[in-house]
Amino acid sequence: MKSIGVNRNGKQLPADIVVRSLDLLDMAAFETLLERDSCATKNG
Amino acid sequence: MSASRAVLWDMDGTLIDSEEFHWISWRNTLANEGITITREQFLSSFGQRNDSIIPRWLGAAATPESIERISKAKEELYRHLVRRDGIAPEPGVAPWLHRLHNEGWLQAIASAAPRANIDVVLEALSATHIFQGIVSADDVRRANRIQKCFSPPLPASAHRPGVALWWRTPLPVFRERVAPV
Repeated sequence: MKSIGVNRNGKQLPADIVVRSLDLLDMAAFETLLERDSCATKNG
Repeated sequence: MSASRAVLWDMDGTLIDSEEFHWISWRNTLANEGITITREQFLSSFGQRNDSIIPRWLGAAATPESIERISKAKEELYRHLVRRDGIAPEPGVAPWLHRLHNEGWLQAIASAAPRANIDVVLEALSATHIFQGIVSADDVRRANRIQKCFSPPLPASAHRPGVALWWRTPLPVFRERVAPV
């Protein structure tokens, strides 16, 4: 499972991507994270 | 079988900026009990369950009955404020919710908030139809147990302010212990 952390103070969170706001999230972020998760599972 | 894709959303601080309404609700409810709290004290407890927060404010005076009474009054005031004034999604949330919905992603909420609060917020956002599952404080005894109400349990990092993604099939989040919307 992948995660996106949202923290407007810019503090680090234990997530794969951390953004201050979801409007700053890359349009392909969700698909890209799932592809990475899928590949990691297949290779694991 | 093709894999379903799903997003698990936290609510307060991720879907919505509810800090001000929670602050007003706590401040006014506790003032009625003769207790004054500062914004800093409130912020240090924000995101935790009421049965963890209230004993801290009441100290030795806390009883199961007083915790229940204060919790109920605070949440009723919070819901009143949301209904009366509405609540806006955090920046960027609305386009993502609708885009993911239109692209067939399943979406759920996992929050330490009471279920009634989640329902009021989704109604205010006109977003009830977007979510296929909800896990609230009513479903778990302690907020940090939310991970364990999924099968398999979510990793500890899952219940942080943010968004978690699934690609597995079937989706454990929708299989059990999640009330359908």
